[in-house]
Formats: sequence, structure tokens, C-alpha cells
Amino acid sequence: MSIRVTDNYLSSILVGDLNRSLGALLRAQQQAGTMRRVNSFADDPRAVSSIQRYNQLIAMNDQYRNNVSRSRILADATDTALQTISEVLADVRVLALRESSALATADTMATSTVEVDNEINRLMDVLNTTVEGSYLFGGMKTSRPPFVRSGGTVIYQGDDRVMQSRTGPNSLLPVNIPGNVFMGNQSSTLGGNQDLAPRLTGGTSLDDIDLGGGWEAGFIEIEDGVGNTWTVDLTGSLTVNDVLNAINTETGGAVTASIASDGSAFQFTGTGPLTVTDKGETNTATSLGINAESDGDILTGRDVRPRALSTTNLADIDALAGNLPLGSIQVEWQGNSYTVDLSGAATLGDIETLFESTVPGMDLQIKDSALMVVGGSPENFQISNADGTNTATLLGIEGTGTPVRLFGILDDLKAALNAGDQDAVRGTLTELQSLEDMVSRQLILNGGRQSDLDWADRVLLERDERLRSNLSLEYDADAAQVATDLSRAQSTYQASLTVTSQLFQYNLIKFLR
Amino acid sequence: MGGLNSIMDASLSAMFAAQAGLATTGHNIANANTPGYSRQSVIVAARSPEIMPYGAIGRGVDIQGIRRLQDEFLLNNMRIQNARLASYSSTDTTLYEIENILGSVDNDHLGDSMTNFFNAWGALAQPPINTSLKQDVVTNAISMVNDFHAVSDSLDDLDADLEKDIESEITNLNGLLDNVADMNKQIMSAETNGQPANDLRDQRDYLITEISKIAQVSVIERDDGSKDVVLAGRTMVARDSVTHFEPIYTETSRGYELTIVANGQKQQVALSTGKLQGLMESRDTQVNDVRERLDEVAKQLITEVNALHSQGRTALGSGHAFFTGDSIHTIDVNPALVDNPDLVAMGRSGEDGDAELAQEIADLAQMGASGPGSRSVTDHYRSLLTDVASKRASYEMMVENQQNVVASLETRMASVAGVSLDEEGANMVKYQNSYNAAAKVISTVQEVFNALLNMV
Repeated sequence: MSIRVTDNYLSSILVGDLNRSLGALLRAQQQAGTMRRVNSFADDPRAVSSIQRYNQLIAMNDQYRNNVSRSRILADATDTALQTISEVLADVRVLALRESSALATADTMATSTVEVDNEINRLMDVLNTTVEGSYLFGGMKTSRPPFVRSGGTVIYQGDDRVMQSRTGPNSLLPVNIPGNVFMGNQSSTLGGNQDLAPRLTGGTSLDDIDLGGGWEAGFIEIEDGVGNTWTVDLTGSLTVNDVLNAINTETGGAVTASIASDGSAFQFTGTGPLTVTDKGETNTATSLGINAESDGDILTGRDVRPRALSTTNLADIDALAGNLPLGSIQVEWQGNSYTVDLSGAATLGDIETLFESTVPGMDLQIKDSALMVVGGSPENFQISNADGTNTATLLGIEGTGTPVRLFGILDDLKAALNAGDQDAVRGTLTELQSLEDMVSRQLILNGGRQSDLDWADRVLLERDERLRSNLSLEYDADAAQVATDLSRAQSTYQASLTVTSQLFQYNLIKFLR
Repeated sequence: MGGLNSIMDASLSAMFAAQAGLATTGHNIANANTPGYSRQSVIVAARSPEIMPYGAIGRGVDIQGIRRLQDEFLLNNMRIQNARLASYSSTDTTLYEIENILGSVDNDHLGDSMTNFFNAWGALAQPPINTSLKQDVVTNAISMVNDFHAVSDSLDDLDADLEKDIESEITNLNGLLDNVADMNKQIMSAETNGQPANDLRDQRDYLITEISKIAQVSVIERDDGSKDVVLAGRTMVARDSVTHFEPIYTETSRGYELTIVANGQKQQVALSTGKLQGLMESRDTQVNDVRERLDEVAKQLITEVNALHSQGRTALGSGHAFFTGDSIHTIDVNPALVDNPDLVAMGRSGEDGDAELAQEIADLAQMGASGPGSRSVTDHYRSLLTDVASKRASYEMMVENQQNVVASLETRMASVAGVSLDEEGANMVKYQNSYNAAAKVISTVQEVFNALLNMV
């Protein structure tokens, strides 16, 4: 059936077509004007949610970067202060050596007493350093000087709490060293010299990897050298095996994930070069140490060994490889001698139990993936290898345990100098050396934090770039596409207008004479 | 056999028919652009012949009437679709307003101010501690609270606008119902003698179509030519009598709400589609939903921040709530903290370097108070935005689709009932030729008469 074409019929169709053309032109002009793909909520509801999310994450990331920058101020100030303390202690030890030698006289000792006093004042100044008005070594008591003179000596009036800085969605980094580490330990300590972090195993919890730094759940992207790309969902993973299984299942064997032979990292084998990157908003690949590109067919991640725990098997610790079972160690303390037989130990927890049950009053701790022996008093103690093995050395607890008394030992030195007692002066040398070692350890600890901050800054910068890139993908218009769409919409609208203006020029009435 | 006079009578009837045709063509051309006008045509039929011994001789043509060309099925369908379009458009417009209230894709006021608020806590928590940043926390909190209030006020304004629109549409509707009843009266009067009142019917149909844009309507035509108008299951126009709607305000838990009732019966009327239904649904569902969800966001923010902040201690005391109120309308920063920002607590110990509490509050931007995995206050707010965006996209599409449906029906109606100037031009020529031919027959009969008379 043919349609009756009336004027209103034509008008209705043409006006509808004109409106559609004009609507398309308006949308194209809006996109060209803003260079945004999404200009209203209705344009793309899913993208709106992502855009808001990315904007929030970018703002939070800016805050994290600002936190890193401010933490850096603290870490740098701490580093400077510790360097100065180290220099002071070195000077004092040289002084003690000089005054315990045959060259010392009553006059030099009197002069050295003044020198020690000056060094104490210098240490007081350094340990009462402020950053932006806050005392650096007061723990969380930052509004008053942590080190003050009281009753002829120096006392610490800060606390032992560590301040933390949020440097990422899941990262809190410690940023200060409470001053009690120089004063508060009235026990002798020894250890921390051997890295006992175990190898990765299939059952290793992902929360424990990277020396306890943990990981960030999310997605990773793997690309091989022949153009295959896989996105692997690791959000449900709890252990190393979960990660390996998820990757091997997703890639169907084209890329094989495993634990590196030295047990320190994840390893990928496939047709190279292999590239693993973070996918989405999380730093999953980075936190697993696999955000990298290989030259060849094998990609090995960075060292992400887990932290040492009391449940850690000795067989999983590289430093002990070939030396199991362990032998015995000898402990000299408070005039007693103890032999601790560690041959039955299978885990670090077993070593703790055997040690503490053999040496009453002493404590063996697992700290920062190393062993630390703490005496119950400020007296020195000795730990050595026994029965021909080097067990104490392997465990990093061989040597002399000494108390930490920064101002106490300086007061002792001053008293010895005043008394002209060269033996007593010489007796301070060991503790001064221990103090220097302790400060060195704090410097290393602080240096580690500075590295952590550098790494956090890099991660945050990458995260910022990735977030902005993702935001751009959701939000920004493709310039070439917009220009084409605009040009096409203009042509269409122009053609519609031309046709409409022509169509009503003619009808039969006009031709009737 | 019929005489020459009967031939002239037949020709005269043809001239009358041609004149009527020309008049109708003129009427059609005159109303080509009149909204609601249906084209008309003359119905003619051959007169009964005169029976002669040798056969039947025709006696000319009779005008049977003027017919109005309309498709009632299309008309009713278009009214149904019109009601849907008006309903969707109202909701879409409301969602557009809500979108503007919540901000734009580029500038999400409330979301941005919440992020700034939590970041201010993050900056305060960052060692080395700068306690002067407490003022920044309070300033950002005030800014965020002002944004909550601005959104609340704008939603109230939107509510008020919708209620005004509802009242205005009820007035329009009542006016249109009056006009239909008046038309019924005129049509009944005009058609009593059996002549259809075509133009009045067009006007009445146009009015009913206008009603369909306000509320879904159904029509029952009576034998006397009148049409009853039924809205929401109630006969609002019966012949020339009208029942009016009226707005009634009833007090509810959230203030006064407008409902409409049929005059005299005082029973609430539920409309299924149409602009009125769209406006009421927008007010009762869309605006109300957004307000309730924003209230939940505000409540979560107040509860979670207060739960942590009240654990805090400062040199000036402890246990202060950070916010007061429990909704977007009532939320405020504790005036004591505004007067003295030193009351802002950073930690539980009160030490100047203890900012653990401040960090925990800053972390609320990422996760709820229940810890990792729980949804944060900003998650809930973003979920609301996504919901509004999805609804807006959905309604925008529904409006566009419905506009296409209505446009298609209008096109089809224009095809059936619209005036074609080409067609009318052709009819004009046709009737003109018919008139000329009939006149020529009369002229010929006259010549025959003259020849006959000259023979005498």
C-alpha cells in the first residue's frame, strides 16, 4: 500500500531528521569544545563512576606523595643527626684511646674531661634537634626537649612510640627513631648480623613476602614476545601457589610462572621478551616484585623473600644451607657458662625455645628477619661457637653483648678521666664501640627508610601516571575522531537544511493557471 | 422518456456536487496547518434512475455528506504513547536537575570536598606534625558541610518546583476537561439532526490528545456523538458534566506531600503514565531516593568520624564529637571545634606527635569503619552518582525512543488525516472540470431547446 504523502507528513519527517542532525552536531561540537568524551552523567554512566574514582585516587595519591616528601625531611634530618652522633662517638673513642695510652698525663686527662663535657653538650644539641618545631628524637612527645639534664646526668623524657606515614593505600612507613634507643635499653644486646629471611615456597603467605611488607591484591598484565597479552586476576590469592596457579591457568602454559631457583623471587618463562605490568589501580605486580621486562625468555623478579617468623623452617633459610643440623653455641653471662645445643632445632621458634630454656634470664628475639639476644641486665655477655661448628656465626649472634648507655658511658668516661684511672678509661672502649655499632645500625635502618621512601616515591609517581592515563582513556575524547565526527555532523546538517528548504518550494497549486 | 428539463436537473446536481467539492477543497487547504485538523471529503452518490421501457436513465448526483477522514485506532495509540513520553520526559528532566545539583563530571562538588576533608586529615597526620593544620581540617570540614547543605537546599527547591508544576498541570487538566465537556455539548447539539460536526470533533480530539500528555486517557464514544473521558479509571467527563481534580496537601513524616483527588470523592487517584504521574514519581521516588541516600552518606560520615574523634585527647580535653546532626540537612561541624580548632584531636594520648587517630580518620576515605573490605563513605557516595548517571542515561534513551514512537505515529496520522496540497490541487482541477462539463451540458440542452423552438 502506497503512503499518502501530505505536507504535514513531510514536515514531520523532515523536522525529525533535522533535529537528529542538529543533536548529532551539538554533541560533536560539545566534544570538540571540551575535548572530553563524557560531558554529562548520561553520556557514559560506567565511565562517570570510573572518572570520579580516578579523580579521588589521584587526589589521594597527591597526598601520599606529599607525605613521602615530608617524611623525607624527617629521614634526612635523622640521617644528619645520626652522622653527627657517630662522629661524636668516634671522637670520644679516639679520646679514650689516647687517654688510656702511655702518652696520657694528668693534664691531658683534665683537658679531655672538658672535651667530653663539650661532646656531651654537642650530643644534647643533636639529640634535641627540631624539625619544623617538633623534636626529632622524642618519640611521639615532640613538643618538649627529649633529652634534659637531671641530677648530674642526662635523662630521656620522650617515649618509645614510632610515628608512621601513610605512603600508599596499604603502606604505613615508620619515620622516626625514638631517643630511648640511645638511653632506655638497660639490657645488653647482641645480634642482628645475619639475614635469616627464608626462601619463597608455595605455601608462603602473600602477606609475609617482601620481608613482611606484604602485597597489594589486584590484577596484573603479562605480555609475551609474540603479542599475546593476558590479564590475570589475583584478587583471590592468599599464597604464592595461588599466584602461580592463577598465572599458569590464565596463560594456558604459554608463560610458566614459578619460584626462582634461589627462592628469592617469582620467575616467568615463555617466549621473550616478557613484560609484566600493574593492571588497573593497584600496584599488584610492583608489590610482587615482578613489574619488569626481560631481555630473553626468562623474567626474574626482585627479591621478595618473606620475613622470618618463629614458624620459619631452618631448611628454607639460604644462610644456613649445608650447615644443618645446627651445632651448639656457648654463652658466658654473669659468671656462668651455658652450652646451648641447637641440633634438634627445625624452626627459628625451636632455636628460641632451646636458647631461653638453657640460659635463664636471657631473651632471644626474631627481629627484622634476624636474631637478637637481649640480656636481662646491663652486664656484658659473650656468645661463641662451640663443638667445632660455626653455629653462632651462622645465626649472627656471635660476639659480645653490651648495654646501650649513651650518656651513661660518657659519664663513666668523664669520671675515669677525673680520677686519672686509665684502666677505667680503657674499660669504656668496648661499650663505646658497641654504641658506635648501635648508631651504625640506626643509620642503616634510617638509610633503609630513605630507600623505602625513594621507592615509594617512584611507585607513587608511576601510580599517578597510570591513574592519569586511565582517567584520560575514560574521560578524554579522541581528537581525530572528534574532528571527523564534527565535520560529518556539519555536512549532514547542512545537507538536511538544503533538502528541507528545497522540498516545500513546489506543489501542484503553484503550477495551476 | 425523460425530458430536456430532467437533463438540466441532472447537470445542475452535478454543478452543486462540484461546488461542494471545491468548497471542501478550499476548507482543506485553509486548514492544512491547523493542529488536529482531519481532512474532509464530499460523499456523493448517483440519484436513482428514471425507469423507461427501454431502460433506466440517470437523474444526476446527490451529495450524501462531508466525511472526516480519521483513524481512531492510530489516534488512541498516539494518546497512550504521548502519555508515556510525557512521563519519561518529566523524570528525565528531574534527573537532569539532580545531576546538576550533584555537580558535573568535571566538578563533583560534594565528592571533591569529601576528598579534600579526608586529605586534610592525612596532611595533619603526617610527621613532622604541624598542629596549625588543625585549622585546615576544620576549614575543609566547614566547606564540606556547606556543600551538603547546598545540595539539601537545592533538593528542597527541586521538590518545591515539582509541586508547583504538579499544581499547574492539575489546573491545565481541569481546564481541558471543561473544554471537552463544552465541545460534547456543542457536538450533541449540532448532530441532533444527523449532520456530523466534523470541525468540532477535530477540536475535541485535539483537546483529548492534549489531555493525554498530562495523564493517560481513555475515551468512550456515545451514540449521541459525545465522548466520555476516563482518567485513572474514573469518568471525569460524561457528556457535558465534568469532575475536577484538586490538589490536596497531606502531612507526612518528611513534610507536606501533594496528592490529587477527584472532586467530591476525596479518594486518592493513582495515575499510571503522563506528565502528572512523571512529576509525582520524580518527586516521590527520584528526589526522595537521592535525598535518603545522601542522608545515609552523611550519617555514615558523622558516625565514623565521631566514633574515632571522640576517642581522641588534646591538651584541652577529650571526647569531643567532630560533627553534629544526622542528615545532609542537619550535619554541622561541632561549634566548639570551629571556635577553637585546638580541640581537634589527632591521637589518643594527647601527645603532639601522636597523630594515629588523624591517620585513622584519613583512612576512612578508603574503607569503612569495619576495616579492609568494608565500603567507605566515598564509595557509597560514588555508588549514588553511578546510580543517578545510570538512571539518567536510561531515561534519556527511553525519552528518545518514545519520541521516535510518537513521531512515527504522528507521521502515520499525517498520512491518513493530513491535507496534501497536491491532492487538493488535483481535486480542484477535477471539480472545476466537472463543473465546466455540467455547465456545458446545460448549454447544449439550451441549444436543443432553441432549435426546437425555431422549428415551431
